[in-house]
Amino acid sequence: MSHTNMFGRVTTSDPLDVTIAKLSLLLSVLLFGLRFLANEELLVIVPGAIALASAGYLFVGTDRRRAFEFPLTTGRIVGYLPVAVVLVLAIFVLRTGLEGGRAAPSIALYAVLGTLILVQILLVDEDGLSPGVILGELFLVAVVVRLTTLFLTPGFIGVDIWTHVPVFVDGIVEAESLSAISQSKYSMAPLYHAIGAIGTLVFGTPRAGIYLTVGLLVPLAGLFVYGTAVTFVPARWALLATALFVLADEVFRWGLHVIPTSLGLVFFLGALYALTKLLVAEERWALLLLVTASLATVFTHQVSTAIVLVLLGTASIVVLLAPIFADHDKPSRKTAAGVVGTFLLTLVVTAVSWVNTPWYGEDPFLWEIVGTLQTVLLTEAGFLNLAGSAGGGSGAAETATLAGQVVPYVEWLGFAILLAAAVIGGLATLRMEAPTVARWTYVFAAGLLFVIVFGFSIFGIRAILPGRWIGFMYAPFAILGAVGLSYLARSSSRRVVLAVFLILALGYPGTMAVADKATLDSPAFPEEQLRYAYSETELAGVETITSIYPATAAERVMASDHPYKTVYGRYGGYTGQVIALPETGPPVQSPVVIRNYQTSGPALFETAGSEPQVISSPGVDPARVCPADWNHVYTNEEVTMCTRPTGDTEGSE
Amino acid sequence: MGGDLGLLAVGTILAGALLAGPDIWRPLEIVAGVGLLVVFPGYALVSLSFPARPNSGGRSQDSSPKLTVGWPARIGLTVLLSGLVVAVTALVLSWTVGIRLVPAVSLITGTSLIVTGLALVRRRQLPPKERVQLPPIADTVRGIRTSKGRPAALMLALVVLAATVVVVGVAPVGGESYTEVSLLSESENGTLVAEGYPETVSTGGSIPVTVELKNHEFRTVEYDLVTVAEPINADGSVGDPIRVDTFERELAHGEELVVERSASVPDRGDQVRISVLVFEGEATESLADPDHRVQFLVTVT
Repeated sequence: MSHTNMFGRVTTSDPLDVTIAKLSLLLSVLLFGLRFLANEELLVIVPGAIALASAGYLFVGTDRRRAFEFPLTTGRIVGYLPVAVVLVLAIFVLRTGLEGGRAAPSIALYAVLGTLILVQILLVDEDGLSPGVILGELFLVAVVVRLTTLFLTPGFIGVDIWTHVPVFVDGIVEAESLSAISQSKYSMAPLYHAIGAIGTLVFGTPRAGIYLTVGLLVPLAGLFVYGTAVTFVPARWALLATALFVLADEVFRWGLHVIPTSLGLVFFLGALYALTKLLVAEERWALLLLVTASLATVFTHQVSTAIVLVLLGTASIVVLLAPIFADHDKPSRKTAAGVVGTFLLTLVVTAVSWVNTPWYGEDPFLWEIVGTLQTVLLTEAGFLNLAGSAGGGSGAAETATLAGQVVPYVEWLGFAILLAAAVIGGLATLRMEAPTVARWTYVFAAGLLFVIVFGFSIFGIRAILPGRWIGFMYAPFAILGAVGLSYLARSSSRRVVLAVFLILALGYPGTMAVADKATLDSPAFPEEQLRYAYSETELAGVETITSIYPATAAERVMASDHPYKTVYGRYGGYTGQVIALPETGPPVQSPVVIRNYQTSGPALFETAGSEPQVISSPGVDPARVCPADWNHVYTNEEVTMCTRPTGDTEGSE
Repeated sequence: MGGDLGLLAVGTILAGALLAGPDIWRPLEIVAGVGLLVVFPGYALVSLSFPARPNSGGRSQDSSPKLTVGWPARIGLTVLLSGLVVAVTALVLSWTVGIRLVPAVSLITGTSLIVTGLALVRRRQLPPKERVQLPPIADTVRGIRTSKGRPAALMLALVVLAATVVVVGVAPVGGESYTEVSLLSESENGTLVAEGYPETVSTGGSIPVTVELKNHEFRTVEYDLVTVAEPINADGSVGDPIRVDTFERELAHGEELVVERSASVPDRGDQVRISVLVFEGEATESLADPDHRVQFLVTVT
């Protein structure tokens, strides 16, 4: 529809999508060359996925509007697929209940559930496809799997939640006022804690208060992805976009680690839905929803706000430039004013909010974050400064084992599939019959988020917490991915499409289910991935130690491995430190807490000194961390607390 | 026509009454709480904002644009707006009477009911055929039966799932079994803490040894506790243990106990490690392989 616009005119001889596909192919080959300069699996995964998608798009050629014959026709087996999903889900609940939390079989069952749903979306013919039933299955699985995991895992899953719920939310309930968080960076972003406080009053505990409110909002907000995608593509492909999003590891992550980022994701999805409705259908109510969702994000979470600003900023630039490149379908002035106005309003409210937000230093949050970014850009940023990459990977210290080298590739495979689908979708979007501004907004927003997440990381710019952006980025990726796969189904041979769909249905749910961010509670590869949840015995250790060795002042040190030390720091009130080991001899801190997990899982210690290096705990003799000539003052089956016997027991650092 | 709004009003009133009143059966509390905090206020707002049925055409009889969204988005908006209503309620209460249960439930209930009433009025302004209504369950089941599924089997599977969730939810959790042992000393303010142990003891003198036991073994356990003194040799190695005290205590599951004893320190070297070996059951003759061990070091003067 836009063959007469500016881009159409420029690329009359070579369509824009084909030109971009060729450039992407070239760029991915160049990017792959970086692999020889840095040992980073993403430098294989990302160029590989982009190259495959670009080459595939060029190979497939034009949209032939060919009707793909979906192989599974209505019949006995197809009719029982929803039944199978519900029964497997019941087995998941039973199995997880018997295990007292997720273990390998539960994770495998979750992958099977994803495959059963994708099979229905990708392989069942039109007569057998029931969008309502599949959507019901998908969200039943999303809610039941998340809540079962949350409630059957002792304590909390993740790191930050140990501050947000037992300290902030509980503090608000005790004080009966939000003044309990007035000195934190959430003083101007209290919506998550406000919901949690009411939830605590209603359900009796802060844990249930958060899990049964925000914990429910997060999976159900995936419905916005369907509502958004169905604006562009038929129901089958909107279902696919929703499934790709809901099953993604980084989306599952925010359903397990339920913190303000999770609520920020909910509002972001609302904003994306409203923006799409505004750009595509120019529906006026969507503007009110867009403003509401954007401002709600500002009052919930700072990183989420930055992501919403990127989305709104991208949309604003596209609508402002629309008169140049869109001939026939320019947005109305009201729509353009609405989008730009929402962006400016959100920007101003964000600035005012951040200026009034306290931070650790003397200056408010806005100046501190600007200063941090300035420092990072001027002193720390450097090409291929990749330490501590974007947010994927197993997160443990580097390992030389074969499994340690293979696991990251398995973890990133689901992402690679999604990225490849999104690249095809981005290219196909350029030909799609939808308003130009909506199409370009999606392409630019997805591209910009990708650059921020992965491009900035190549230069070591991680002050913006790029790992937290990935789940948000997956929303436009999933929608573009569905566009790409629907294009593929219309344009390729049946054999190719079937092969792609089978890879997707069999590979995507499984690799996303075993990725480290989707298994914070119970790693699928326990020797390679960190466990960010704790056993009852480990939590009993925390409770008793904090009562018999009270953190009377924040300066009181408690050292343990990462991440166990974070519970002592956040929940116990200590200055939580990672156990620092000199070249020989005991740790420099006292007290230290050791646990059995340090010998079996990849918990982290560090070397003592001014430039500490990470040490994987299984390589360290527990007798060195908690020596025989120290006082052993507390123990249970899994945890032991040790103190240096002479002198005081305050930390030496 | 307004069946869903009637149900909404009744559900809101019931949930409000149940939650603001005395303690109720936990599963009922969860259902009422999720309804009031995650569904009802948002559904009322969505009903007010979008009174027209999805996919019922572009314009109403008076040619004004109709406000309509599909059911998936309606559900998404319901939970999003419910979250916002709850959050704003907390903000309002924080600035006024304080964030407490009864005011919170009352405010959310009242807001939901008022918005539900307004939604009913707005919906009635539309021609009956254009008003939004819940998809009739019978139609949905019929639709599945005709071509796309096995409704009876699906219903049975859903019952199995619900039963499984209930069983797992209400079944007594076995939990992990463990024993906690703490070595304590009395602080200046009289509390027992894990620091401030005696650092010196005169030759042949005795020192206090205070141990706290907590039984989480899901069974009654008879603990044998043996205090031993182990000289630290000049090269840092630990000498043979000398039994200086033995006692036993029986604890039921969930019980905890503080035992205050004293131990005589034998004249064996400059530094001695005082260890309390805890056996779940009878102590071995050799004192090898205790189930738990706590210890502290003292200098003999």
